[in-house]
Amino acid sequence: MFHLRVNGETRMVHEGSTLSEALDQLGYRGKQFAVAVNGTFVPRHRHESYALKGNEALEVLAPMQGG
Amino acid sequence: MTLLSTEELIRYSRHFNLDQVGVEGQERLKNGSALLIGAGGLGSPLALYLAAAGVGRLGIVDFDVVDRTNLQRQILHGSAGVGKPKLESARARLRDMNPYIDLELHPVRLTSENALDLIAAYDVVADGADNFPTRYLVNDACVLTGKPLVSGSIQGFEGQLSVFNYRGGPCYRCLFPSPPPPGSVPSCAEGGVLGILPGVIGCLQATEVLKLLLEIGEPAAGRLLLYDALSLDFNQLRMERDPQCALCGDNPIITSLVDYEDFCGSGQTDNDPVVEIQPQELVGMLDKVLLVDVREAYERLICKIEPSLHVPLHRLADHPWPESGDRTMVTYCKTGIRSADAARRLHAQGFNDVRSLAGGMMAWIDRIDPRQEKY
Repeated sequence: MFHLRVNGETRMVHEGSTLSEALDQLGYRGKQFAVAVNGTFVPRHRHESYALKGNEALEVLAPMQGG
Repeated sequence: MTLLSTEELIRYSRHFNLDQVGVEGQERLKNGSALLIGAGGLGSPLALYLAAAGVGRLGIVDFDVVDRTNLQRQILHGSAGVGKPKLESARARLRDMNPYIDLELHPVRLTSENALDLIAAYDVVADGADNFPTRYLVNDACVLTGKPLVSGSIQGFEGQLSVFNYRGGPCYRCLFPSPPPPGSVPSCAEGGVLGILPGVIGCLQATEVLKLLLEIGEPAAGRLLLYDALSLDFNQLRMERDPQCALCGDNPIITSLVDYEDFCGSGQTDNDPVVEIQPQELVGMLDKVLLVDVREAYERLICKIEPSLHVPLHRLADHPWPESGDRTMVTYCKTGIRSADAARRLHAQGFNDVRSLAGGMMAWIDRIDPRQEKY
């Protein structure tokens, strides 16, 4: 297991997880989120190949429609 | 010589000592134009400040009428405007605010048919729409016409802001390539919004519009600003244009506007039809059915049907339901949409005879109990 900082909270995911696997473990499966790793957004099509090292800061956010 | 009249020179004089604006910048604003999508929460401060600042041609697209529930945050409109088109109160307020600008009011719904022509006529677009189909439509139309988009959105106590499609920067689809499943993200009406929040985000949008028109500072292109009113956090995340973006990428797939209701799934009807009950039918059965109000608690303070059990939609799954036996269950909400959703879910939970009140509380007041207050 390794640590991630997810929206400001410390969370654990399996060691060697890709970004997409980490999102599944964190309960974000199947939803349309934008995800930034260490302050920079990673395009959605790269989530599956994006290898996490541990201790990254993730910002997971949903779009808002209100105006 | 200047384009500005003496009246205008006096009016805008506080801009002139700013190196980044000056008389020349003010002339740029007068020659500039912006199109606002929506005259609601975000559109109100956008319109007021851009008019006051002297943006020479200000367009607003909105087909809505002022509702009493708008007044908590949509400061372009007042109590006297309730029931009238938003553009009517906008015209009166903005004319008074600044008679030296051209107002172009478009009382239409923005669609795939009219969006390109409307947007092409302006320098900058600011999005204050209240739904995903319009947000994707505006983004796509801005990319296809090459216009920068100052995007703002709000929910609860939080807001997001960015400038899309500006000088090789990302577009909205680079960040959100596809919309969230319908119903998974609340609107202001469903989720609630702090009245001041659109003021904060709308003012930031207006500032970005001015920066783009004046070509000063560093516009929010390539950055998403997140604002949290409760913690007073302003957080910025970086983003780049995605070369694989279906719209603005190197090999775009989307080359014309599409059907955005369909794209966002909001136009689709559920495959599982719901049995409805008309108010006239329900009135004679009130003592026989289990009537369930699935609205929020505050809505019951305004009007309700008695006797009814109160179980808000989001509590349906964990409510300790009594054995209903063979009793018919009837769900109701404000207009019949949430109650249809509730009826579907209760049916899936094993209740056999669940019906949804057609037209909801509003139809009940119209046809059965006009003494109660509508909202």
